[in-house]
This record gives sequence, C-alpha cells and structure tokens, in this order.
Amino acid sequence: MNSGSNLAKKLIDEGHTIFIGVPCSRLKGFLKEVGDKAMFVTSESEAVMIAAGMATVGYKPVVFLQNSGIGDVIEPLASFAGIADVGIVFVVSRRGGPGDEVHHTKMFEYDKIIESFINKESKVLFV
Amino acid sequence: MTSIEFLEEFVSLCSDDVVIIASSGRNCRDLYRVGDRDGNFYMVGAMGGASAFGLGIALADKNRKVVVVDGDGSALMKLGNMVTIGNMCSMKNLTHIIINNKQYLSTGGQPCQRVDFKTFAFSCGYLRSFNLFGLDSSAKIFNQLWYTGASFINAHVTSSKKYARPAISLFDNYERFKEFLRRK
Repeated sequence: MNSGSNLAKKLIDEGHTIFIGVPCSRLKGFLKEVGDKAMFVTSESEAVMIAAGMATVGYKPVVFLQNSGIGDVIEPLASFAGIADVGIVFVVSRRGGPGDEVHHTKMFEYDKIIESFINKESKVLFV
Repeated sequence: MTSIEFLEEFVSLCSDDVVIIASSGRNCRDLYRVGDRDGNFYMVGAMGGASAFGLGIALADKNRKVVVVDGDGSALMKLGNMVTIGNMCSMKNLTHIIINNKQYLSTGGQPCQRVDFKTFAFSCGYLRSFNLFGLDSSAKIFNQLWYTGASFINAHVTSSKKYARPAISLFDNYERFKEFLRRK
C-alpha cells in the first residue's frame, strides 16, 4: 500500500465523500483508493468551483491536482473560494523536485503559493 | 429584448426556494436590480466559474432548482464547464442561461468570439437547449425547463442601462446564501 492510498483512506475516514480534480500519474494510488468517489473534470479551476458549490451546501469536498495546475486555481481562490469561508481540502502532487523533468522544475519553485490563498476552512496537503 | 426585461420575466417565474447565480459583471448588477433575494448569489469574482459553482450546488442538493445566469464572455472563458455539466446524468435541477450580448459589456463593449451555443450545449449533453430571441416565445421555452437533464437557454439580448452594483458584500452575500442553502 503506498502513501497515496493511505491518504485517501484517511480523508474518507474523516468524512470526505467527494473528490474532484484533474488526474496525475503520481496520484494513481490515491485515485485507485478513492474509486467511484472521484469526479474528473476539465480544469483545476473548474474543480475548485464545483467543490465550492458542494461545500456551500454542506459537503466536505477534496480537490486533487498536480502542481502544474496551481496557476489555474489561483484566480478562483483569490477572488472567491479562498477569501469567503468555503471549506475545501486540496491534495496537490508535487512534480519538479531534484532529478525530475525540466518542464516541472520551475513550478516546483512556485507551487506553495497556493497556501497563501487558503482560508481558515481549507487546507493543502502536498504529496 | 433587453437583458433586464429577460431577467425580470424569468425571475418572476422562480419561486423563493430557487437558487439564482449571476456571473461576474453586468449579470450581477442586472440580477440585483431585478430584486435581491436570499437565493441570489452574485459571483463577483471567479471569472467564468459561476456555471461550475452552480453545478456543485445542484449535485449536492438534487431537490434544489439551480439557475446559472452566465454571460457569453464568461461561458467562453471556461467552455469545459459546459462539457462537464452536459456529461453529468440527470441534472434535471440545473438550468444554464447565457445572457448573450456578444460583447464584454463590463469592460467597455469589446467584441466576444462567437459560437453557436445552442448547438454546443446539445453536443455537450444538455438535454434541452434553446435560442431565445424575444419575450413572445419565452413562456413556451420556460415550460420545457426542469426536464430529465440539464437545460440551456441562449438568450439573445440587447444591453440594459448600467445599474448599480449589488449593495451587499461578497462575504455577507456568501454567508446569507450558505444559510439559505442549509435551511430546512
């Protein structure tokens, strides 16, 4: 069992019943564990807004993405979901560490910026 | 048909428990002008994101009718949102309206790119999709909404005058809206 599937189990145990996002190869184990609770959408910003709608009704949604999608989530977070009390848990896979491919390395330097757009109801988990 | 004439007609048919979400820009001003209500959410930020927000609410509460009042510019910005809505089964509680003025009105009337939204909505999977050119055909169209899947209206409008911004802050609007959605 890899760490991704442990994380998914933990989140499900904590009452997260819907996982919305864009897949990443590093989230394979995570997504396998999530199973039919996953909803795959066309962009990371779309995932944020669907999750925001569900959270407003009372769900505890999780948004999953690769860090390459961080740029797309900043605008909906900065202008709405990260400043109003919308509770979303983010699971972000981090590409671009030492030895990774060149097109991921620059985003690795910037991706923690997502934490600055998260309000008290939300959190970010990097995997 | 001006945007405000269309909205007045449509909102008058919505009971108090129907959610209406306006996309950023003129739609927020117009919806507020038609009449503030607890079920209104003025999405002043999150460009293009109103439709996905509405989908999230409609998915989370299948007994809640949700109307998204979108703009053609907003919809174009996030066309993928329409693909997702159309791909979802049995979204009978979601109606997506585009107030189509063929311009970015809030920023000075710059032209938008064009697409046949009615056909596009069908190809995404919306089960009902209409062009609306005037109020004389509105009753016929409004009676066909809330079908077995998501519905779509491409409302071709001319612009109304510029009304005031909603006199409620984003934060107060959000808290009121959340309370409204969770009220039993």
